Parts: sequence; structure tokens; C-alpha cells
Amino acid sequence: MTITSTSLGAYSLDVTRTRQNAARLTDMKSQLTDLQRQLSTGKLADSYAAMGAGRGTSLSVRQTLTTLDGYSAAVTDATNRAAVLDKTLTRMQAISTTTANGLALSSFSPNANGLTTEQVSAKASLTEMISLLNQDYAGRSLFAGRSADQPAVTVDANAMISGVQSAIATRRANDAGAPGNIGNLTISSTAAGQVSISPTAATPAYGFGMNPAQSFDFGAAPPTDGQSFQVNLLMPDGAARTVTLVARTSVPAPNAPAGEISFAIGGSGGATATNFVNALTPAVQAVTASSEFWASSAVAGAKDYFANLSNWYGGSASSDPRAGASSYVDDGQTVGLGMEASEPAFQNMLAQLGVLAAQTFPTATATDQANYAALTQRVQGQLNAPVVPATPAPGAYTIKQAQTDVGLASATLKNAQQWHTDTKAQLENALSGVEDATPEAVAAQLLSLQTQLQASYQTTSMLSKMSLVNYL
Amino acid sequence: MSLYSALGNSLSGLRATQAQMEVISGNVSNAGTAGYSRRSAVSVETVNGSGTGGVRIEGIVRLFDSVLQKELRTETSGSGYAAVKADYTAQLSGVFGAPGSSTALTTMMGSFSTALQALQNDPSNPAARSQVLSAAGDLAKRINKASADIQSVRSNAESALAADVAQVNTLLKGIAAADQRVIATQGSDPALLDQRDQQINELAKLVDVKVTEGPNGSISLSTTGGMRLYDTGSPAQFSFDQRPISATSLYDTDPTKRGVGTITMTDASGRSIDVIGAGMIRSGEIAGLIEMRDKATVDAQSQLDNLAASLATAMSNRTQAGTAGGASGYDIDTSGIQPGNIITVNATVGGTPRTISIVALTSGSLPANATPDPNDVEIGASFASGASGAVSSIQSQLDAAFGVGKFSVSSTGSTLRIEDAGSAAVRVTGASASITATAAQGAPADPALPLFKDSAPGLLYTGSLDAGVSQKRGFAARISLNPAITAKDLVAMSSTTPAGDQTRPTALLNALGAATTFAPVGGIGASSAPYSGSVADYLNRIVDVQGSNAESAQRLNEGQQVVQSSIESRYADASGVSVDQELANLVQIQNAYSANARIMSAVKEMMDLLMRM
Repeated sequence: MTITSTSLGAYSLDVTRTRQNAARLTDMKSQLTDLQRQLSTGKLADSYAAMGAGRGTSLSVRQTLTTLDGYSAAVTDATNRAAVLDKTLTRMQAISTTTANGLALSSFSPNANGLTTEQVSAKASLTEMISLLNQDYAGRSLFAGRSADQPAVTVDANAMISGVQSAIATRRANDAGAPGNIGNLTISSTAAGQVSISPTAATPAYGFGMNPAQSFDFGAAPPTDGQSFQVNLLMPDGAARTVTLVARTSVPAPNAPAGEISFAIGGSGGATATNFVNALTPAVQAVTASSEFWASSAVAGAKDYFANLSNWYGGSASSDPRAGASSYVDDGQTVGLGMEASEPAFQNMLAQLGVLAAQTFPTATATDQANYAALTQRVQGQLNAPVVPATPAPGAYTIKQAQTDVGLASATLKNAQQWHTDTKAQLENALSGVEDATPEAVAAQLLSLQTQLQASYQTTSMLSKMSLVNYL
Repeated sequence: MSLYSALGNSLSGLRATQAQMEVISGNVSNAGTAGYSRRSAVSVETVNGSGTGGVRIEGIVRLFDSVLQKELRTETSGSGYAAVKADYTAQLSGVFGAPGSSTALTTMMGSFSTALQALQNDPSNPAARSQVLSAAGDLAKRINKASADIQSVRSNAESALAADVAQVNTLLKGIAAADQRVIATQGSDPALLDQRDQQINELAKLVDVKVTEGPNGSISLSTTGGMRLYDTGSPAQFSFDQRPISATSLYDTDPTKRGVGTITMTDASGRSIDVIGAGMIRSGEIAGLIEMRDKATVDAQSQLDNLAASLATAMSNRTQAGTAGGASGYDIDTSGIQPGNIITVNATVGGTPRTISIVALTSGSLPANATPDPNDVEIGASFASGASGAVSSIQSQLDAAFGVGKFSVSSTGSTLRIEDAGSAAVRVTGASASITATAAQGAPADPALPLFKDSAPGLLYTGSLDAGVSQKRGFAARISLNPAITAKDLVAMSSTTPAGDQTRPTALLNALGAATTFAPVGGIGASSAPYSGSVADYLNRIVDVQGSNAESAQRLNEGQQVVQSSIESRYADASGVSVDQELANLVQIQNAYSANARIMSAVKEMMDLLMRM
């Protein structure tokens, strides 16, 4: 009740009563107005001062709701992004499968440009792959890691293919090595009977690799007839290749199986070692001349091209690609949807498609068919099951793995969305409890106030007539 | 015993009833006059020695209860105080906006936080970036507006004080004049007394008044705080030097430091006193206005300053972690340290963990409680000439605080080293510094970003305490979006930062949500336990506390009004004119007049009878 004393000390009894009565009436009238406001706005109070005990709740719930709205927006955005990513990755997986399956059935019948049907479609797939990797969502490049404003792949298929071709040419020129250094292997022997085989340390590492380098000591442990020795080589593309040599007392051995590479056990360790080296060198040279080596060199060339990211990648590479685009979906909970085209899965696919499209068979050479077969076999193998090195690079090695990451993120997002919806409903209830006026309650208050006000008006009017003045 | 004396008696009766009639007519005609107290004619019997006498009117008196009047004045002062408080605190609470309003400060804070969330989610999005800048700008402007609104409430209080002081002077002069006339009439004229009382009542609304009665109906007035307002013939003279109000203008008992007006009283002897400084007014409108101007609005401004300072600091300050250095100590790189930045050294002294806060202070001395932490040892040192320039000052202050030989301070380049003596009794356990980034791409590259700045060109907010001036005071009025920060800067920590890098947006978002400690002011946090929470949490507390202040002031006011009105009713019962009662008296007096006249006519008849004999 507010009774404002306007004229102080106006303490005539009648005046005081009239004034106080008027003040009460005004007060009731303003209560009526406030109830009307409550009814029309649906809110109990229009200021924090009038809110009373619910003020703290209202403030903190509103703050939480605002934060939740922020999280919800992030979740919606991330969900859409995950959907686009999933579609893109599904398509990439389909390209990979189609290409691999096509190669399995491929026959060698090159067209006028020296390209088989599969090679022609590999180029088309490469173009599509590039456009898939350059996919964006709402202006945000999806496969460029943190450089979301840049396209992931900066070159087109033609530039990529010619780049791969020149990288393959470099490989071809270097992988076979030179006499005395066949396949860039250093094979040496000592008079004491020791043989050591090691790859030439150079960057880039051309030719064969070994893991680890090997050595034999025929002086300390003279070989026996029929004893076999394995030289474990790595082809230029990293595939394992073993050359097996068999020690024989006489070469060629009368009962040796076909294709056996043998060396004669000499009178001394030194002589045996020399024989071993003399047998190994042509055997290695034969490998370098094989279709397998040719195909391996091509694949290695393509890998060389893609390993240098500045050749084709416009995004940024990091040690944790998923974290490159992480969304906060709740306090402290993040969902990573970052993808980098430089991840092994995408790089490998580009390399396989690239090498397939880069090799041509324009002049009918006797080895073409065998080379093609070796190449398609390698590409098919790499597409289906990419080689994962001992120390894997960051990111996914298969498209499926990337897709699984996205799937897991989607599940988290869905849970978070549900959680936000539930929490929001609960919080809004709480807010409504302290802020909102119940129409029924307000209506009831209005009615009682109306009755009270009417009664007051009536008695006031009656009282004002009841003065002795009127009866004298 | 004669017919004549009967005639004389009825004649005196007629005169008396006429006089009573006059009193009734006066009462009825003044029924609506402010300050009029009901009069009554006092009739006494005249004695003529024969056993019977006539009547005469000895005087006209006020019907008046001095105890109730005193109570009424006390409550009037209380009402004046409560009404001002209710009015001003409601205005203060309104400064922050209505619940759920899109222009409420809390909503703007939420928008800024939401914009940062969106930027964190999609840093390369140009729309998300510009949204952060625009939300930050809007928030800064809204804080400026809240600050301006608070100052306008203060300014209103200042003007109201000036008006009230002028009214006090007018009333005191009026009271002095009325008092002189009362003394001249020996206090016998009820109209003069009413006139004087009415003015005292009006004065009671403005200040708390105590009335002391003197000889010959004279009075003297003072406040309950003991300040003489009026002594016979000499009213005190008040003056108020109204000033333009800003966030940095504060009351101080020292006139050279005072930025707002004060009430000066000059008494009859020419002495003048600063009434506000002496605390001589304790109730009434003026006391309420002083409290609003010098406490409630100042607290609200300080709270808003705290908010603005923490907001700016959360964005702009990087944490420079210390590294273990020397035999037994910590190294801290102080490069880029700004005035007001704080180096925190943790130590254990005699088994008790102690915090040492080294505040970068270029000039002046460090004020008490420079940091919100109530238990830290605070020392100020100038880094104007690098870490080496601060060493000796820090060393001597540490020696003074803990004793010589406990800590040793040294420097290498910009690195400050604080070591303990190597004994188990004193151990340095950690060190860190909070350093304000001065550019978007600073060295070292850090997510901290001077997104907000002080209003002066090129001036960043560092919390400087230099030259005895706290940069925080009034910062809410000056906080603004730093124009040097571009949309790109919100992401780019260096020239090589990728556009989609989330490091800076994430760090800014986290900094906004991180709990910081706020200096206690106006009911948020106590000095022994300062409030700790995020910037948005603190804002909620401000709105809550201001709302609660307004609510309790409103309650107090309502209660006071009820008390006031009940006393008014009681007072009116005792001293007020009731027309009904006056009319009833009128009937009685009419009858008395007729009766007296009837006696006269009976006497006349008897006389006639006698004459005819």
C-alpha cells in the first residue's frame, strides 16, 4: 500500500480520512492495472525489483538457456556438417570400390591414347575425387583442416596427372640404379667371407629399401648344400620382396627345382662370399627389370608426388586432423569433425587413381600387358587395403575409418541434441515457474480485487453522503 | 438576587454562545486547511458574590497532543527517507533492463557469449567473426549506457539535494519569523502556533528535527545528530555547491578531493561545517539523497566497473607461467608487463601457504587491497626500466614483509627470478603473471586479444594504479570496442594462423566463462570471502543485488507509509476538525442560545408584569 502524504499536517480528521481512503482506492486501482498487465503479458513482474525470490533463479536460468542456445546452434551446425561429410565419404568409398572392382575384371586393351577403359575412368574418378575433397559446407572447406577458407586441393586432375607423371619419370630414372649399385643397393663382400647388403643412404630413397640391412658371414658359418639364404628387400613402393639364394656344392645343382637361384660353396669363406654376391647381383637386377618393379616404381612415383603437400594440398596439416574443427556441444564436451585431404586415406586414393591415369601404353611393347597387370594388381591391393607403416601418420588410413569417426561424432551430436532439448524444456519450466503468471490465478485475483474495489467505491460514496450537514 | 442579575447572566450566556459559534465556524471553514488544529473556546463562570454567576470565554485553545506530534514528525522524516530510497533504488535496478528484454544488460552479455560460441564453432565464417565484433561493441555500449544511467540517477540526487537545501533555508526563515511572533504574543495565539508547527512539519520531511521548547512559547530546533537548525531568532544558513556528476566524482571530506556538492552550514557565529562529512543528518529526504548519491549509486558504479574491468581483462590478459629457476626458485618472463599487471608468487612461509602479489606500478604508491585477494602480501614495483629496475624495490619490500634473508630477487634480461633461501621454512612454490596483450598479433603469439579498450585513443585497460588513480574507477563509462581489432584478428594469432584455427576463439570463450575473483563491493562478496565467478555470473549477481535492494527499499517504504498513515489518523483524531462533531456542537450551542434568549424574554415578561401592577 502506498499512501503518499502530499500535504503534510493536513490533519483535519475528515481530510485525513478522505485522503487515506483515496490513496487506498488508487492503490487498489494500480493493483488492478498490474493484474491486467500480468494477464496480457503473461509475466508476473516487469522488473527485477518486483520479481522477488525468483530473481536469482530467473537470472541464472536465463544465463544457462543462453549458453544452451549457443551449444544447440553448434550442434545443429555440426550435425549438418557431419551429414555432408558422411555423404561425401560414402561417395569416395564407392569410387574406391568401383575402381578396385573394375580393375579385377580389367583386360588389357588400350585405346588410341594408350589408355584402357579403367584408366580413362580413373581420370574421371580423380576429377570427382578432387571435387569431393573441395566440398564445402556453408563456405567452410571440409577437407582443408584449419584452413577452412581455402580449397583442400589446389590443382585439377590434369595438373595432378602430369605431376604424377614427372614424379614417376624421376623414379624410373633412379630406381633401377647403375651397375655396381643395382636398385641402389650396396652389396659387398670381404675376404674373410662377410657379405653385407644395404640400401644406399640418400634422400629421396630411390630403389630398394631394407628393414633392416642384412649381412651374412660365410667365413664363420660356412653354408651347407641346400641351405637357403633370404634377402628381404622392400620394393620402391614399400611392398616386401624376398630374393632367396641356395648354397650348392655344384652350380647348377643337378636336382635343383626350376628357377632356383644358387651359388657355389667355395673353398674358403671369401670365395663363398664372392660366389654369393655374383649370384645375388643378377638376381636383384632381374627384379629391377620385372613388371612388378616397374609397377612398384610407378606407385612410388605417385606417392612421391603426393607426399610433397605443397604440390597439391591447400589446407593445413596437423597431428590431430579431427580436432581441427571441433564443436563444443556441452560444457567441456567437444566433437571433432575436422578432415584433412592430406590424411593417408585420401592421399592414397588420389595416388592410386593418379598412377592409374598417369601411365600410358601408347606403343605396343611386349612387356606392356605384364606391366599393366602388375600395376592394376598393386593399385587394386592398395585401394582395398592400404599399407599402414610401422609408425602411422596422423589421420585415417581408410575412407571407412574416416567415415566411422564421422559416425561416432554424429551419435554424440544426436545425444547432445536430445540432452539439450530435455534440459531446455526443464529449464523453461523452471523459468516459467518464477516468471510467468498463471492466467487462472490472475483471473481469480482480478475478480476478488474487482469485488473489493466495487464495495469500496460504494461505501465511499455512501459515507460521503452521511454527514450531519445533510440532516440539519 | 434580582431579575437584573438574571438578565446579566443570560446576556453573558448569549455572548459566550456567540463566541463559541465563532470558534465552530472557524473550525468548519478550516476543515481542509493544512496544519490547522481544532480550536475550542474555554468558558468559565463569572463570580459575582451572590452565589450565581454568568459565563465568560476565557480564551480559545488548540486541541493538540504534543507526544503524537513528535511521533508524527519522526515518522515524517522516516517517510521522506524511505520514499527517496525506494524511488532511487528502483531507478538503479531499472538501469539493467527488464527481465528477458532484448536490451537488458544480461541479454547483451548472453549475445556476446553466444557469438563467441558460434565463432568457436566456425572460426573462418566472416559472419560469425563480425557478429562477435558487433556483439562486443553492443555490450560495451550497453555497459556505457548503464554507467551513464547510474550517473544520471546520481545527478538527480545531486539536484534534489540542492533543491531540498534551498527549501530548508526557506522553511527555517519562515519558522524564525513565526517564532518571533509567537514570542511576542507569549504563545497565546493558536494560529501563530499552527503556522510555526506546520513549517516544522514540512522541515521534518527533509531532515530529522528535534524541537526543544523555550520560555514564552519560543522553540529551538536541532537534528537528532545534534546540529543546531534554529535558535531563538537565528536560523542556521545552509548552502549546497552543486557539481556536474561523473563516475569519477566522489564525496571526500577533503574539499580539494571532493567531486560532488556538499551541504555547508553557517551558524549565527559565522562558523561553517561540512554537514555531510560530520554525518549530522540522519533521516529525512536529505539523508536518503546523500545515501543514494554517495553510497548506493557509487556501489552500483563500482560493481559495473568491476564487470567492465573483468570483461576487458578476460579477453586481453595472457597468463605467463613461471618456470623453476635457480637453486630453489621461480623465473618469470616479465616482457610486455603493463602498469597494473600482477605477478603472483606462491610461497610457503613457516608451513603456511602465502601469496605474494607484485603489482606493476610506474608511479605513486600502491593503495591498500589492490587485489581482490584479502590474504595476499601486496607490493608495488616499477617495471618501467625492465625487470632489473624492479629487483631492488621488490627485494626490500619482501624483506620488510617477511624479514631479511627469506627471499632473494634477481633478474636476467626481462626475466625476474624469485628464490627462497633454501631452508624448508621458506619455499617458493610457483609463479605466474597476468600480462595484457597490446596487439592482436603480439610476441609471444597468444590467444589473448585486446578486444576492449579504454576510451582514450590507444589506451588499453591494464588495471593501472599509477599516480594514485585507479583505471578501474569509472571504466564502465569508458569501455569500448578496440578499433584496432579486425574481424580477422579474432582468429589470427600470427600471420600464419589458418583461417579455421579454433585456438583463439576457444581461448576467448573459455576466458569469458572462467571464474575470476571480484573486489567486494555493495553486497557482492565480503572482503574476507570475495565473490568468485565468471563475468556473466557476476553480472547476474549485480542485477540480483540491485533488484533486491530496490525490493527491500520498496518494502521499507510501504511499511513506513502504513506507520505514517496510522499516526496521521491518530493525530487527526486528537487535533483534527470533525465537521460532524462541530455540527453537533452547533446544535447544542443553538439550543443554549435559545435558552438564554428564552430567559431574557421571561425576565422581560416578569418585568412587564411587575410594571403593570
